[in-house]
Amino acid sequence: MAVFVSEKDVSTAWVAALETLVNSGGDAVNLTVAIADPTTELEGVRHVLDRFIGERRRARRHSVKLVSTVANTLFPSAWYVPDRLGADAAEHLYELERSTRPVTRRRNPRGTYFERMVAWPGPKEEFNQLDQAVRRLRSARERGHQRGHEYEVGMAMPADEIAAPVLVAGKDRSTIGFPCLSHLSFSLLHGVVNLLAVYRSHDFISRGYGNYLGLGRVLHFVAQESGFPPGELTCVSASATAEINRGANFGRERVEALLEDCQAALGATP
Amino acid sequence: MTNMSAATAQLQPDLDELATAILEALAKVRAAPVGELREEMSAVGGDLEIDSREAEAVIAMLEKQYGRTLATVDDLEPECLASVDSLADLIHRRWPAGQPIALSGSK
Repeated sequence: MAVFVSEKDVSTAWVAALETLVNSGGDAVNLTVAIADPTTELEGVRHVLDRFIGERRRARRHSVKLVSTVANTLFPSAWYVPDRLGADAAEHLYELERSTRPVTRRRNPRGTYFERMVAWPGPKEEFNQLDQAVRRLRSARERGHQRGHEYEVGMAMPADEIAAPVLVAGKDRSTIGFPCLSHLSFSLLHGVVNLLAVYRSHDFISRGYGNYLGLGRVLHFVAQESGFPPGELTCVSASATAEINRGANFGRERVEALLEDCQAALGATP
Repeated sequence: MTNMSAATAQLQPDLDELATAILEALAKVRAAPVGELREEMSAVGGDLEIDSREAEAVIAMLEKQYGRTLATVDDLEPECLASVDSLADLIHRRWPAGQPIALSGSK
């Protein structure tokens, strides 16, 4: 049965969704999390989660990743410096992705989500889907449009639509691991850009928080570059797990303790 | 008599030289003047925290500059790439012993 969570920021939404997962036995289908402002978080919650992840990493370094690492695979925010570069900031970001790719590929041999967004492996050449989304939204703004449903077509080829597929047919045959994110879809309503992300599978403790943060950064980038304000992030996880006995297999006791610590961190926030 | 290439080629760069090269590359990533980064470093006690993706970009630039691989998969874990000093130390340790520096942009 589908589960719906709607909260104001990344931290509150992630904790509420984790609580829902734990209370439903640890797993859910069609977990839908709406975050009103996905560019904000409460540092106390991230600190608790990174401490939890850090403990596992000390035992098995490659088993899980810190929140910042996960978020960086979706959007390397350190490479985007609009305050310094203005209109050239996007090209700077794309160029750094291209020049750094040989090093990034050492850790991520199949690429990163961000690479899929800006260098989609087309049949003839790479295609920058994010740039396409930005250009189309910018064009809509210049024409005074406040609503952009005409761009929205699911399962579209990236060259034709304002959508960003992540799975490559014929290439992504693995049933586990990258890419769990299947699709991004931007939509414009009342002059605000919103983002929908679809995951086929979601390890909620190892990845969920960093994924929401990274997606929030993607939304912020597209909004900033197109000239519209960023709106809501909605993330649908076709299959989600609290990793009690799946994913990183943390066990019920640890996951419940993590949830309690995160709720305390939320409560401690003024 | 040595030719120009031989004269400019040198063995493993020392930590200061690497730190300078890293700072110059980091300035490109941040689109900031090198002097500004130096001031920032001084203000925080001599080292500068960096994001792991900034570190990856810097490594890629230095690998192109020096014409060699400077980091293994394990080196790219974020705990190893926390600051300019830790990155300089890492690359210094990974430098193949006895190999000269390739001329900038020659590879």
